[in-house]
Amino acid sequence: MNMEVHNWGLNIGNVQVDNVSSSSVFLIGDNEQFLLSSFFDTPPEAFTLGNIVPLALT
Amino acid sequence: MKKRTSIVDNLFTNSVSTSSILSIGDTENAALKFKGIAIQKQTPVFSKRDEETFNYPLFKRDTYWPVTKMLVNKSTTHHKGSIHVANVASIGVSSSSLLQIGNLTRVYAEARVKHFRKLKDTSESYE
Repeated sequence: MNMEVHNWGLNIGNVQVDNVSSSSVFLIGDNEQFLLSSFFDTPPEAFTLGNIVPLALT
Repeated sequence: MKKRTSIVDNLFTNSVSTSSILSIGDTENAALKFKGIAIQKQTPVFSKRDEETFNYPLFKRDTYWPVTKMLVNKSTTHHKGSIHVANVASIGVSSSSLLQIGNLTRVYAEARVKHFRKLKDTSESYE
């Protein structure tokens, strides 16, 4: 596959980021290749016991 | 491939913690790795019994990197030599993350988190 990219101007005003966490990247610049892999494991008892309060019915 | 220059007027970061990087300038390769265990207890009192170790199968599995199925030959032309961001404000860069002002050619980033939720078994909740 051929791909031609023309970058003209890139001007950003304000950026507000709360948190960059768990192997994340906040990049201002050029990049060629990102390889990301994430595993997470939530055991079955990760839900709340007891009755679930129904949302508003109306 | 020609690279652009990144210009940031104001950068504010409150904390860069737990093996994180705030890098200004160009980087060729970055390899990030994070292994975490998150324990949530109904009564937030943690004792020696809640101590955890990382010998779970989740952390032993070898990494699955996405396979590039199709080769893309990309030609990029930058008509303006710079990227301009006026203000960047971030509260925290944590758990082996990277805030990069500048070019970053290749990144291998891996995160593994195991969650535990320890709830009190209130017997009356079953009726």
